[in-house]
Amino acid sequence: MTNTSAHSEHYDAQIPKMGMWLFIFTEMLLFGGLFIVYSIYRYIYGDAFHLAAQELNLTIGTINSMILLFSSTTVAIAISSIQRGNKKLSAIFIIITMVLGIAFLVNKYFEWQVKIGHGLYPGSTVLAGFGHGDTLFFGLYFAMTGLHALHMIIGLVIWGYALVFIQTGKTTQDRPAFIENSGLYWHLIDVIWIFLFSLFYLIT
Amino acid sequence: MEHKKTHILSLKAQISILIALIVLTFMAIGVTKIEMGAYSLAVILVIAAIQAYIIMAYHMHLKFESPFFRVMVILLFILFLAVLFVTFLDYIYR
Repeated sequence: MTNTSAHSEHYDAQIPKMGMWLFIFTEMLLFGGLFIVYSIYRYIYGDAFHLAAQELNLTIGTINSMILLFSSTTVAIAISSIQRGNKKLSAIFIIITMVLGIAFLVNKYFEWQVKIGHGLYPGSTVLAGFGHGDTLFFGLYFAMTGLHALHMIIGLVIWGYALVFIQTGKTTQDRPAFIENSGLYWHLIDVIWIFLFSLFYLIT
Repeated sequence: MEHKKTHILSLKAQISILIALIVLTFMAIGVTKIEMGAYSLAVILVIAAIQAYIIMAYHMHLKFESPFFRVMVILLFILFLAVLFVTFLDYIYR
């Protein structure tokens, strides 16, 4: 055990955290670029965007917002549990987070299915008949919520690893960095969703 | 070198944050029901920004980190606004 204690003296949680934040900055710029594209086209095709947004289901969007807000809280509880040394509680809240994440994706799946069923998908002839504004709105809708959903899927895989690391003792009260940084990633996904929800679903 | 003084929020604080975020979401939805024209987008974006601030300050611990992280986030935000501004200038005065 002397080996591990000697090892932990050189352990600096600031370094993985800084690496994670640098990654988060690149993610913010990635989505930031898409938000700029969205802003420009909303400025140019304002009326078409307003009409196209009526097609989106505000109820499903709101439910997904609530799911993500709850999952952010369960992540925060999972992190504070491991920091207090309660591994079991931490694992339980990570599992709850994963269930919420899967629920979000299932909702998204049905939402997309309805849109595609109505012929509202990039490259469809129905959409081409509506003109540029609608084509751009749904193109951006599928690209941005799709990229967001991809991040959620990656997040779920990361939580799977976190569960294994708690089980094997790689992540402990003294070394909670993996769960803390996974939490940062999950919260980032939540922040991005808040803006996606505001810009796609909350158009009057 | 003491690295263990990480700030841990109480359960009560975390529940308060959740309630604040939910209330703000419904406020934003409420704004879409009121006829405010161009202002509704501004109000919705301000509410979204407040929500993002709450998540980043408390959930992402920026409030308790060294100023380095906060400065980086603010610089990134300024960079984003600058690029947005320049892009719009191009489209408006083209």
